[in-house]
Amino acid sequence: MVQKIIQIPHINDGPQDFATLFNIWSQVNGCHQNVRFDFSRCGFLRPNAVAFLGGLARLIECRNGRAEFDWDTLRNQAVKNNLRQNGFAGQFGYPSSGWDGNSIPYREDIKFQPDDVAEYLSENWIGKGWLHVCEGLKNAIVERILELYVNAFEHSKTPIGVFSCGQYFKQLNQLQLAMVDFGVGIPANVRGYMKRIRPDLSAEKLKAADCLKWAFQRMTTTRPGKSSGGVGLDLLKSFIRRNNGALMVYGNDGYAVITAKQETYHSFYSAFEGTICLISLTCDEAFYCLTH
Amino acid sequence: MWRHEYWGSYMKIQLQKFIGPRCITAEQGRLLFDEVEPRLLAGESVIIDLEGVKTLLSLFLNHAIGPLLEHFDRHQLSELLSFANPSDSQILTLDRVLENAESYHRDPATKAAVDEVLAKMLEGME
Repeated sequence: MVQKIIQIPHINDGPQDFATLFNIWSQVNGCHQNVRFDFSRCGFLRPNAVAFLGGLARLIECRNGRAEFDWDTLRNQAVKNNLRQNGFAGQFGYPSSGWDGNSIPYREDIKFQPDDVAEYLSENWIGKGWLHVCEGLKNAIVERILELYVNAFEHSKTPIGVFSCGQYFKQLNQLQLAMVDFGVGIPANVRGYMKRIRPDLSAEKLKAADCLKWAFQRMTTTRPGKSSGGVGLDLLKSFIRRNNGALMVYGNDGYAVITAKQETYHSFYSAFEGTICLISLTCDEAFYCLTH
Repeated sequence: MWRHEYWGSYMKIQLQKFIGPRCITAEQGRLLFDEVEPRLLAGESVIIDLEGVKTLLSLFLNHAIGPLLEHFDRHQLSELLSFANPSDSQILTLDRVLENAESYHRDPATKAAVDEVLAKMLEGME
């Protein structure tokens, strides 16, 4: 089988960086070739890129292709150390480091195992000592973030699971966690729901920004059946806004940005099938409060 | 088999023992619902003790408590069902889930209005 080589550039977490990830996805999607990822032009990778690339490799494998990360091309020592420390390199054929530094482990959840994910968030993300909060507050933060995992597994119908990775950024005093799935995506899910309840309308015309805005409001749910919903994302949004955090959600051809100061929804010029969530928390316990 | 405690006319369910310290999934929620619903319908009072419950997610509550609003309004429900030892975060989750479920089950116009937001956008485009 022919091998396709894909260059990985520097990838941060701005809209242009997500467009770069979606461009990589589009090169892989629909191509039935083996893929080799080349790091020779890469000098920086944020957790969103790490989780995305790991998931993409599994997506290629699930379609009977072979994905290979060419470790010989990774010459940037900081990126190499980071990928070894967070366990990503170990998952893809390069030895992991003996210490984990400021990294939060790369993780693959093929099926939802709530206890394991809760433990990961509690011990490996919040519990590593960068954020000094009491046990009760730690549990409360885990509760809010778990809502995203529940959504990913319940609504996205992801064929290969959810991929996570995080990092503590010392200079920013910021804790990040990225979650990626290659499922349906929120705008596509909302359009599908509208198609079911109003087949007389052309749901595909709904803008991604409007679909995302709707999904983040209270009481909105695309869940079939007789149970209520539409609380989880709203609770998470309130938590992020109250505690000076930030949440970015990219799905299909749109994205949402939620911070203490703004809540904006955008249609995007680039697209992929799935969802990426990037949560940033400020490591200052003075911010944390969970009451109304 | 786990037995619940009876305190006078109240039955107390220790959720940590009945479900576990992490109450997350719809399936777990339905287990609790099946336990609670017939008792409340029979007029019995129930206390759900959250002592030791580390994680209480909206998905769990949407299936455990939400459907009870089909039979009772919030006032009636609060007379029969109460929660002991919730954390601040759990109080907020419970509050939102109950409020949401009440609108969903007892005020279909609210749910319809939420869906109508998107329909109106589309109608405007066509």
